[in-house]
Amino acid sequence: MEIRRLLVDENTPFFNTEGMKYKEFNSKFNQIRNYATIIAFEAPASFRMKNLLEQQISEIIKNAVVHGNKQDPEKLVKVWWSYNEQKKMAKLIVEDEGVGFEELGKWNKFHEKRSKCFYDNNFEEMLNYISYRSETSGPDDGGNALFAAVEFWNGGMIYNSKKNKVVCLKYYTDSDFIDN
Amino acid sequence: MYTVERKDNYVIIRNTQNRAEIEFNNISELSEVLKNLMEEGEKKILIDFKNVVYIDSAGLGVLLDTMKKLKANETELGILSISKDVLEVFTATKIAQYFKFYKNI
Repeated sequence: MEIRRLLVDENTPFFNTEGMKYKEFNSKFNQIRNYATIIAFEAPASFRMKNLLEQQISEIIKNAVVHGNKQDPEKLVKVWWSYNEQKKMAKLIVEDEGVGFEELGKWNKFHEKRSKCFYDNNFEEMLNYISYRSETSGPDDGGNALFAAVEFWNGGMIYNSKKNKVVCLKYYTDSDFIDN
Repeated sequence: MYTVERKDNYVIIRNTQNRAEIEFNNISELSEVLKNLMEEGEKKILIDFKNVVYIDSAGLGVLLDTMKKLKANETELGILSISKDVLEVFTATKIAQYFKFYKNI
């Protein structure tokens, strides 16, 4: 059973932003989808997977705006992105001004238990792992966006040591391009 | 759902929703309206963005493709009453240059 985890590696070469597009956004909740549109628009049409790429970009930025910058409009979210058609790869780096994702280890453990329930078809136990809640979760937090993100970004989601910056890698396979 | 009305020399396309979102799963509606107007030989088309609160990358892509076809047909495509936030999407993706923007007519 392969369980994807959120990784931490300050020195990963994937933090290299050479050749990537860059833009800063204010932490305005109602603008998050617009930010994602701006970034996804440059992707080759086949990379967009209808609007799945956009949704997943949106979720990563939402984490930065909501959990990182606590929706303080003065605080910036820095975003770098690139698309490589030859390597069939999308790369996204998002950095906020917050204290970092302190519960990353706890989230990984939660996700591991949740995935095991899926693997074992233990639906009764799975009910305990429907959504991840932390002390900072708000009433509008679904608590499960990261479960989808860690699957979508199949090349990894790697955080810096402060955990306020993440690089997300998506490698496309032929199956991603079916019905696209 | 779109309505089409005429004002002076322009044909104006309006979305009837209060908070319209133009995205991959509904962009074909707008695309169809534009195609029909082009086939009817309209030369000045405006899309009213007053009620549009969001457009996704698929929506932008279709607008841009349509724009190219209309240009080849010497048809002008303008955008009316766009909000600051949605305009930023056009500007940041550098496709604003292909459209004429009107506050009102």
